[in-house]
Amino acid sequence: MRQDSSSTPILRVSYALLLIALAAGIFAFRYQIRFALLPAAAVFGWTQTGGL
Amino acid sequence: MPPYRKLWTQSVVGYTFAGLVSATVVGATLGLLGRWLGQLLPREEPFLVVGVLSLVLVVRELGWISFPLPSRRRQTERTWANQFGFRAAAIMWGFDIGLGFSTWVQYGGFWMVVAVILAAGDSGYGAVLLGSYWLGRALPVWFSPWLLREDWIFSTLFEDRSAQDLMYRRMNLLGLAWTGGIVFLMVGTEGARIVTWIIGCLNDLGWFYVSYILVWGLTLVPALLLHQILREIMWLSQQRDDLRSHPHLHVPGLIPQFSASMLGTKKTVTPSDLIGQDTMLLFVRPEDAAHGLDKQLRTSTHGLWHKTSGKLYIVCSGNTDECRELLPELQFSERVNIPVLLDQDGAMARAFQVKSTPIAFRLDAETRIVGFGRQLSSIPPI
Repeated sequence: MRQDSSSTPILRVSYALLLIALAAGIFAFRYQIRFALLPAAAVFGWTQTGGL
Repeated sequence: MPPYRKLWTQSVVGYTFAGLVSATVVGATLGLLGRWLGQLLPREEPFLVVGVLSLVLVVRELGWISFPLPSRRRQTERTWANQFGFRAAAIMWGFDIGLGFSTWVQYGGFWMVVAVILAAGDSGYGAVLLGSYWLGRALPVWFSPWLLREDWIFSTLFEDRSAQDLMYRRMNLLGLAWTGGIVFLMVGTEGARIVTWIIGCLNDLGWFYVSYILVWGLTLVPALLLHQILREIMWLSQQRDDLRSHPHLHVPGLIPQFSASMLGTKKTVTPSDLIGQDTMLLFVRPEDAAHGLDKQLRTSTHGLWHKTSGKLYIVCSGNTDECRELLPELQFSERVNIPVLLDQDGAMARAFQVKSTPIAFRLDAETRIVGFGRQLSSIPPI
């Protein structure tokens, strides 16, 4: 049976990653502004097909 | 610990580290390239340009505008696992995908990372930023045992992946908006100064040049449209030619009757044996291997086998010995034994009106031909 796409594990982990990235981005921003882009880069990487 | 778990761990670690190596090297190289470009080009706030680019990409992810992203439309070779073993293949996959530019790019985020590195012109920062991108990209592999459905097969992997497309698009949108905001802050000027700089650039260019660029931009839109229309016409023309050369495809329910012996067995296969499940028939000739198609054939066989969940038959038009020699080129795995139907006198190929090989026919559960396809590089007519 197909799972409901609104509650797949990939989706739940993606939301969690987004929240962690946002928190890390805000923390890094306070430390040094250019490091605030590192979590965003990781989010971009997560969404690319090649990872899976 | 089960042996496959050890292999999985070694492969994933190798994949991640190999990708990290290639990603950091590419990131550092981009940083050096950015520094070199910064010396050549006027250093008029490159972060401002990157900020504008991020806004354009945000608008693209919102779906308000549409344009293809520069990307190499190639998938990393799955057959490496058969050629080099799973562990070595995982390292090679990691290295290849870690390069970033070697495979598909679906969302704008990757190009934003590249643009930021070029604007910063700092190799260390470039390595760290592209390294972060890679770690994010390798993360789903680490999570895969928990992310994948228990009954997953290869085809459902992409179904699951495409089901998340909207979510991934939104994640990219947020990431791009965040990056744009940070990049604008890195410009180090107030909003008024940015506007003054843009107006100053326009004044320096002169209105004549600005209108010249605008006219070219306006010309480009119909040119791109015309290009797309021509491509569609070419595609339709090719489809028409294909249908003409396979007139029986117009008529559902008509499958040529055949009776072919299966290589290595005494079994004879007829259309009635194919009833009940979608099936694929892949027509090949021994000459296909001699024309340097062997690697492509192996890849095609692998893909077709997965597409039909194992219901793939290879129809070899040639004598038994030559077909037997071709077999290793088609077997992509030692564990998978694809049945080969012998068509020694070519009668079956003629019945299917095969003009060139390799060519695949897809049959539905009632053995009606529902599709066919051939490689662009298929060898000359029979």
